[in-house]
Amino acid sequence: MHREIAEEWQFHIDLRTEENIRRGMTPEEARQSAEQHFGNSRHIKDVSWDVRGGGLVETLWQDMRYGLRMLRRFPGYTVVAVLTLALGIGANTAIFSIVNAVLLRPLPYMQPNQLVDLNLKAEQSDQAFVPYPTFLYWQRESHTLSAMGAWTHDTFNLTGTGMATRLGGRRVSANFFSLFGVRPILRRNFNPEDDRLGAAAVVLVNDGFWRDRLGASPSAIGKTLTLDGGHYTIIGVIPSTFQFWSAAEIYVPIGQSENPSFDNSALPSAKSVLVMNLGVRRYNRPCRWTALRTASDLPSNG
Amino acid sequence: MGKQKPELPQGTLDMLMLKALSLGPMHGYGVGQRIGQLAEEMLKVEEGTLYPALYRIEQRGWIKSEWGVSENKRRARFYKLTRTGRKQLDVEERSGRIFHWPSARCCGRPEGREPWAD
Repeated sequence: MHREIAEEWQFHIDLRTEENIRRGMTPEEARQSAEQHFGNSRHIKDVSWDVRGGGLVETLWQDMRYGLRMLRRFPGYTVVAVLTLALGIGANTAIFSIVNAVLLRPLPYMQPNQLVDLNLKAEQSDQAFVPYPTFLYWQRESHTLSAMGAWTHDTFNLTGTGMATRLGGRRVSANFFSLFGVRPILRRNFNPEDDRLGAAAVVLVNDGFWRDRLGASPSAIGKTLTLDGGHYTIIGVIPSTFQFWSAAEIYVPIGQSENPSFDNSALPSAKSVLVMNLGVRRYNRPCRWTALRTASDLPSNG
Repeated sequence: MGKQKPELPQGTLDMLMLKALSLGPMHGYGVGQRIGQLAEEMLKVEEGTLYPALYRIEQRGWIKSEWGVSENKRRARFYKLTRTGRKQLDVEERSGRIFHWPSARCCGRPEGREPWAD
């Protein structure tokens, strides 16, 4: 663009020069006079280029090329700038990934905004747990909550296959997985019958456990695991898409243990109650009321 | 008229250029010559100021340009009046505005009109 304008003006000046020569000036005089008469180049150039000289894209492109040239001239500066940018972008991305995973992304459950976590805390101690009988009572009496499930951490000693290992797992109520809309693959979920004292011992394993130790084979279903000396039949596999707090390798029905509130006294675990709630606003009052009642009349387990 | 450097009202210069080009396509230098014939004051002005004005009215669509070959076999940019430009020129001539340039020897004034005192 600018070249074209320069060419155009050069043509003009040349013609004027020739005219001057025709009028009798010397060539140097002629050219000088022509250029003078053409006028103040700077100002004219600015105006012309505003009007005609190249559009926005051309100017941008020019500026970019200039910038690159300058960068190449001062490599030290360039390196520092690039490193700073890289650090900044990297840190930003890292933090955002964390925030995204923890806060922004919705929980990978069915209807996550209807899940509520209930817990009881004694005033004197730091522990927060819900006694199992209380949970059962709540489950019976609550009107505002469509379903309640319970879970607690536990560890198990796996023996019988190679070396004895300690597994991290959970004791969960029979409806636990249905609260999240999670269905075990291969065979079945817990039934309410499993969730009682004296029922046949069953266990659900998670996807990682199934792949690592059971070779991801469908025939693993029906085999037994020896956990803490007891024989548990594997009835299904929890898909890896299910994430709930920390990883758990095996799941066992909570109702089968004698006193799930204080399980494996080595770990006084915090036990929480999960509910599927249809109206968050309403539930506060009835639950407080039921909690008061359970304090006074604790039904015995069984 | 006085000794001051002639200030060209933008509109008038535009009209002069349109008028110059109405006689046929021309390159920038030629346009300058013709305007000089139409208005003596133009001869005193720096010639370069012609070009921003040319570019401006080209942007408005009154003239258009293309590269061509001049009489002396050199490459030059030629300007030519467009239909819109011609219409604009007609409008301006009829409205009489083009005559306000003092000592303009523009063609075709209506009878009896002498807008300047001299």
